[in-house]
Amino acid sequence: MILERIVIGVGILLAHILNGTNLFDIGTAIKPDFMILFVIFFALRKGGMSGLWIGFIGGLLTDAALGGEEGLGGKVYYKIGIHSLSFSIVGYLLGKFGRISYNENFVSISIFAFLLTLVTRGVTYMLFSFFFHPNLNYSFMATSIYNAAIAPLTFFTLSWIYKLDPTSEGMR
Amino acid sequence: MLWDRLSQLREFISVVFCVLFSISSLVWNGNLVVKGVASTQRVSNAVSSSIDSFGSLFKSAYNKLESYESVRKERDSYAKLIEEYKVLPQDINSLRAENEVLRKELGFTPKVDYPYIKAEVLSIRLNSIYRTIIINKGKDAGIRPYMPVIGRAIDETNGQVIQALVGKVIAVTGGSSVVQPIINSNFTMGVQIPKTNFWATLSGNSGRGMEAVLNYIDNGIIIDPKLITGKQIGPTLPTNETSFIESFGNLGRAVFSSSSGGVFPAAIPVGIIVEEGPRSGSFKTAYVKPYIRFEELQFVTVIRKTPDKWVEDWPEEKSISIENPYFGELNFPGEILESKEVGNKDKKPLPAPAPVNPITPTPAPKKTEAKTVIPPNATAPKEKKKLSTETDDSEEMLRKLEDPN
Repeated sequence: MILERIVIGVGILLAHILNGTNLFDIGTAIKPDFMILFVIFFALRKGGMSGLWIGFIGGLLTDAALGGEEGLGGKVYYKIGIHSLSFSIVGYLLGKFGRISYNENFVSISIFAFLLTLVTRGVTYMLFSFFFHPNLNYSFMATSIYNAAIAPLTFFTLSWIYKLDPTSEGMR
Repeated sequence: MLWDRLSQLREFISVVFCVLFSISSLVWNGNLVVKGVASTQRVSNAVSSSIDSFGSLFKSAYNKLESYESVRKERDSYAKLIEEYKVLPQDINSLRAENEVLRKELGFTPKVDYPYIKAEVLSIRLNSIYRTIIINKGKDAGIRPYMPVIGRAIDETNGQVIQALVGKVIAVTGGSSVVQPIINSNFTMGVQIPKTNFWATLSGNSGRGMEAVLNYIDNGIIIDPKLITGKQIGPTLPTNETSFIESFGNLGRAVFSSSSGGVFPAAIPVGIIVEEGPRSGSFKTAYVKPYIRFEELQFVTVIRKTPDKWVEDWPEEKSISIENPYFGELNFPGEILESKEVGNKDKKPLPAPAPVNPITPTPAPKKTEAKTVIPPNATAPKEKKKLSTETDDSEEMLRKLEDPN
């Protein structure tokens, strides 16, 4: 049980580190979001609670990467809470209600990855606009399409690493 | 018993915890937990940069093959620069001396050459909601918040290597700093085209991936000559005539930092105007393509210039408070009085206006604050009264003409 959690934790860290690299860039700053894919994968395979906690921890790491900003009086302002909220909500709701409509095949994986990346980034954008300012530069479509394209391969790799075959006993 | 009850509510408690923690972190920004979470950034950035440098072995090999042409251009420009530099030392001393003398004569502030620090880029997060660049030098190396950051870029118009603006430092730790690039949604600065009347505010919140937007451009400035009317006037001009008309516009021109904000030194190249944007009220907007290719940035230079003294020491009493915006509605005293009269049940006639000596100038108001409220003894009500008297007189004359008895 503990070992399983440690391995999942390592996976979250790896997704976060890959998000920080420029290895998967296409053109000018079109990047995939591995953390969303990781949350979607575990929410679909292990249910709402896994989606919630993996989304929360992964979101906290993503928020930490946004860095601080020094304001008046030398006080540093952080943006912790935006991704942790959006990822955990989407992960929980997907694991709780979205698994019924999910079928394990390439098309289904890509559609789920596309729609959920779009929704997650939409929620993140709204939270950021509400707490800070509207960000017109935030990419919705490009990242969603990229995620949809790489989702089948990512799911296959994660299924193999975590031994979470969708047909295995106790998955559903 | 309690444990069983808690186990049953585990899911509900988990959801409430995650939501409450996230919202409280956003609202109460500086708590210890938030600082602790934020400090993990350094570790992950270091690992990300290591992976980047490992991956760049393969990626850069491909990129170098692809960008052979740009490398060749770069080499040519360097060769040209070396030739120019060989001649420069002969002139530079005499020019420097002359410049010093002229500056003293004209009373200009002495020109300052700022020291700088070279730093390596650890991480570039352009896909995140708040775009940042992390560099490997921080407080220990003398970097402070609000220091300008520049980087090497190639001016595509002439193939020359220039030091263009990357952004500014927004937070520092001991061994790393967070840089806010000019394409960050919260970035603003003053820019200009030297020797012209082109001044604008550059904002990173352009809505276009890798471009910035210029706001508050004077309405009289032509950016794209084709958009003056939106329709073609007269016959189609030959190609050389079209280029003559285009020369009035500002498309393709470079914008530079204006130093008006006190953060950036003047005349740092920022980018090139590529397109005229939609109008914003009475002002024009335009899109700027930065010189810096952020996705390929590897090294930057931090200029060790802290914000100008006046930015920090600007006294509160000198701040201009505009109660009514310039383009907002103005409350003329006549209208105020009339509206008061309408509200008042006992309608009394207006008091006779005080005689104004046309020779005596109106005394200047004691307060110098830019308030658009007009003093009550302004001329508007008097003119109104005079007009009404004139109307009464003409009616009287008409009546007399109609009825001579």
